[in-house]
Amino acid sequence: MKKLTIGNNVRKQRFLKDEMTQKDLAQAVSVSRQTIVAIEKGQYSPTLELCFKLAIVFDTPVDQIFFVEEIDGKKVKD
Amino acid sequence: MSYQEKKGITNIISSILITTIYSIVIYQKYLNGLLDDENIFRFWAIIVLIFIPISIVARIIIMIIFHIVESIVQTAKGNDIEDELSSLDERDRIFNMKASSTAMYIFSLGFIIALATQLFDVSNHIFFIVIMVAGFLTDLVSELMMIRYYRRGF
Repeated sequence: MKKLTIGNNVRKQRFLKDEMTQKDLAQAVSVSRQTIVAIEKGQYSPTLELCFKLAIVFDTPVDQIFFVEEIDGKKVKD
Repeated sequence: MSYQEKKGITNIISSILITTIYSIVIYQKYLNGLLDDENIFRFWAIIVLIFIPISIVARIIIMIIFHIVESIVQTAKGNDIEDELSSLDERDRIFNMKASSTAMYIFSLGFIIALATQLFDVSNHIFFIVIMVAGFLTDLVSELMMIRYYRRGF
């Protein structure tokens, strides 16, 4: 296993959490709004600490927010 | 373009501007065909010790102007400037760390090249000039890498 592509449901989880804005989420987990934008676009993989903070805010397990999308370029089936 | 990318570009422009102007002034004042091999360390100590405060003050002024312009532009667009000016978070710190790491390699390479020049029959001034150029390139590469990370992600 050389490379993992990690996807996320942050946008969907925000929507489910009373359509929470990126700014509100950023304030809730103490990061900048740009960091939330980067996570949603898949441009930044957050630290484990931030993953758990997001899980606490969304009140859902971490694996419901972050998931493995590809392993070595091959799509992972649900 | 994000706030961080604009800030990086402003840092690059200010770095080029400050270093170029200072180099031209120093060249015209001291180095224009009048290289003196006596008191080299004192000479370069003066140049560097004057450059540091000038560079810091000039950068602060440029960043203040940048923030004022950015605030005006973002307010005119109806965006919240507070969103952009938030403090450093984990992403900023990781990007900073990665850029600093690369910058350190470049400066180390510059230092080795500066030492290597002393193996040849060249003026000791070359040693300090190479160190200064390495420092300048280190700053530029560090900012470019930060812009790249903010643009492409990591």
